[in-house]
Amino acid sequence: MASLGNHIRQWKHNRTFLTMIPLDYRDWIITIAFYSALHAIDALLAFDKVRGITSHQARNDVLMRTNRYQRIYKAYHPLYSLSRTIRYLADPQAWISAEDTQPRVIDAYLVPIEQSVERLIGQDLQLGKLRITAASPKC
Amino acid sequence: MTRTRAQRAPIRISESHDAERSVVLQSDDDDVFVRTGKQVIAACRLGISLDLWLQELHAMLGDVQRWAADRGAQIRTCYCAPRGGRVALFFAPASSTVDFTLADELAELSVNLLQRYNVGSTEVQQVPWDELDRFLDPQAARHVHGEPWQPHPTVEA
Repeated sequence: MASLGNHIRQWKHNRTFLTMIPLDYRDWIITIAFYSALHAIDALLAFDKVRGITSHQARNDVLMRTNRYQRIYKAYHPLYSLSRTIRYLADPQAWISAEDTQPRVIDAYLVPIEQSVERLIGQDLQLGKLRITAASPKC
Repeated sequence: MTRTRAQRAPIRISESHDAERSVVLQSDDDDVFVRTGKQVIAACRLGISLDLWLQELHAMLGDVQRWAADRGAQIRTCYCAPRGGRVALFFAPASSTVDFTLADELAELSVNLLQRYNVGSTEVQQVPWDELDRFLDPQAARHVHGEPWQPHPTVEA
């Protein structure tokens, strides 16, 4: 089982990349936002010494069944579902608008998960604000 | 054919006495099944478990149907299909983009279903109507609520 520190490192690694992805690539923004949340949650589970989380379903079950994680689950489930859907779509940009991505996904789901995890593990990780890049790279 | 008195009497298999005893069952088409008494009892238990599970599943889907009907303006269709070892519920919103209000409500629904029904793991997912068949086979899945999914006309032509 990976340590709390390893999960925090990967969480920060993913969220750094998240800020570099242009808004035109919303499928990847959602996917990386989800994996940022996943490592934040796994950091919490490592802190709480919850073992045996070897699948998404096992993680979901623990979050659903544990009162301590209820607030996290309410933000995590929509992000999990959205990422499971958008990564398979032939036209992912049509499923979520550019205008909704920052307020309805990053601010409404990922940021509350991160804040809850920081509170529950008793650490201020100095994460900094998450702002999605508006412009596309020029090829 | 007249059955003898002995044939009318029930055949008793006791788990404590007949666990290792061979039981031979013969079907009308002459298939012969040889099982131990223990296996016969286990199969009966499994049959009862399956019946109970199906009752739970039907009750759950009835609840999901009512839940979706209460949100008829938001939900265009809902299907249920097996996914791995889980029961998966797919909701297509009325909108062509993800419905965030529905997404939050689906999170609550998933917790309620877990608490109220003993059907194992249940997964709830919002998917676009246009690409519903990317996630399930609508012909094989159970239609729970709303408009039955149809292939896009250009695909059929």
